[in-house]
Amino acid sequence: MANLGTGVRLKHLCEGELLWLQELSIDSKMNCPIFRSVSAFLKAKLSHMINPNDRSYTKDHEWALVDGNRVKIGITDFAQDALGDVVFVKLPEVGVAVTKGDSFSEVESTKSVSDIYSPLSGNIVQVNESLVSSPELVNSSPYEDGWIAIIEFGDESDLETMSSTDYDELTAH
Amino acid sequence: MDFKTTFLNNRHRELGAKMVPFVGWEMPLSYKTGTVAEHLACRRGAVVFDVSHLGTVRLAGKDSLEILQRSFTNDLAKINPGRAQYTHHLDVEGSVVDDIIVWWVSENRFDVMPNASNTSSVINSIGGQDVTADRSVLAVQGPKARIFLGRFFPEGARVPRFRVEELSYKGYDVLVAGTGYTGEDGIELAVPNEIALEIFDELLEVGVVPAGLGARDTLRLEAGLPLHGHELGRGITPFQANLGWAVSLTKGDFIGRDALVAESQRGIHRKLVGVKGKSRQPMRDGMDLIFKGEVVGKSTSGNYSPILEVGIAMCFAPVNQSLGDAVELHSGDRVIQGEICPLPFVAKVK
Repeated sequence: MANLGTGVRLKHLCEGELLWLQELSIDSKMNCPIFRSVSAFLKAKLSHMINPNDRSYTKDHEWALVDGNRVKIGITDFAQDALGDVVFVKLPEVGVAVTKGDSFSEVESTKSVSDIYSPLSGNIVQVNESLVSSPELVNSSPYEDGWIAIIEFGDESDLETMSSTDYDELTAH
Repeated sequence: MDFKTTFLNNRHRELGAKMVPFVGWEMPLSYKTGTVAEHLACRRGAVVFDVSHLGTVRLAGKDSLEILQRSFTNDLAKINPGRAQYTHHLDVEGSVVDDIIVWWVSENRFDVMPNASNTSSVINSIGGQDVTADRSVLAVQGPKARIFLGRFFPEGARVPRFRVEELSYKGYDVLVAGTGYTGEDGIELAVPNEIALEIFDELLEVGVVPAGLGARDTLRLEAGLPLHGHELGRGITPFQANLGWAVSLTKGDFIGRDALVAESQRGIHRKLVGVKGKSRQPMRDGMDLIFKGEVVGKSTSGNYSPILEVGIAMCFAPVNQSLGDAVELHSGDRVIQGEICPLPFVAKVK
């Protein structure tokens, strides 16, 4: 946790205070050493506050949004930011069976390749065809337009994920 | 491990750059805009790279020209003071141990710019003084680079391609060269550290986009420009890498010349080619090049081309490999289809 050098520790600040600090740091063009030292941290902290709580998360940085016996899968904001510009998504074929813990897709950026793992077993019933020509949706809209695939499952208790709060915590450091 | 930082390090961070370790330095990989946007900004407008991590070895004295002529491959007699030249540093076997730009600043002064990791080996070979820490280097690149730079430094913006000029900016001595590593026109500025931030900020103020190492790599790849450790290195001669134009076998002796003469007599056994993919899937380095079911070579660099919107790679291939040949790149169970194509992938300025 960043120490502001004034006895204030960042984790004691609420979201509103963080926003206020960030505004101040922009206005003052980062001239104050305190703001300079925490600006990068603020950005990270704020960007990690947007993991939606309507879905759950894996330790491999996928999200899973359950609707009946189907689950929509994508990658998190943290994951897309770490990958950098996504230029290609290798989509699975509709109808294929996936096994919990196995890779069923790959997301490639200008710097690396990342496997996408299935958080439960089932069958691919739909893939996001718009990623074929616009893979950058994974960066610009990781939780909405940048979804990757929908898996139909038999047993929801198979799903091994964590809450958005736990995921916030996992990625806050 | 502690990394060296440039004088712009804080500014990079404030701009939201992702900082990464690179040959002992901490450098920006990309800014908030991202590698693809930075790449396109360079092809259409202008970007600035902080390349202060590149080495500068200053050679001064009457014997400097002679030392460089017998140490490197290119012939400085082809140019004059006030010009820049691309050249190679070889070992006795003819391998390219470094590729270098020589800025012939004035009659007896040369600024030799090796890759960051090779500065000390170049000094071992030619002597001179390591002045890397005394200056910052900004590379302003793109079709609009001169227009933007001209808004606050018109003399600098007028330095012609491959020329080097000693100019004054606000009372400071700066070295300006019409050089770069993107395939675009552009200007490189070697400036005293105390004005590096001011010039960088001026560039951003007039509309130049900051770009990181990610875009620098995809730009040089599209332009078919070699990267040390990939297209050049141990076991690779200039001729194999299509860089025979940077070698003069007629100027007199230099390190590695005998090996190159022998190779030019027996012929090269492989050549660098381009491979263009059929899909957006990025190609990567170290993949096997497959032709008619056989492994015939290996990729040395690969990525996604933002201009062509397909995967591209440079590969070493047999000398008889023809343009248009249908090939595949393999790595494990990864298979990418493509065809042999000319280099550069995207036309570059002369």
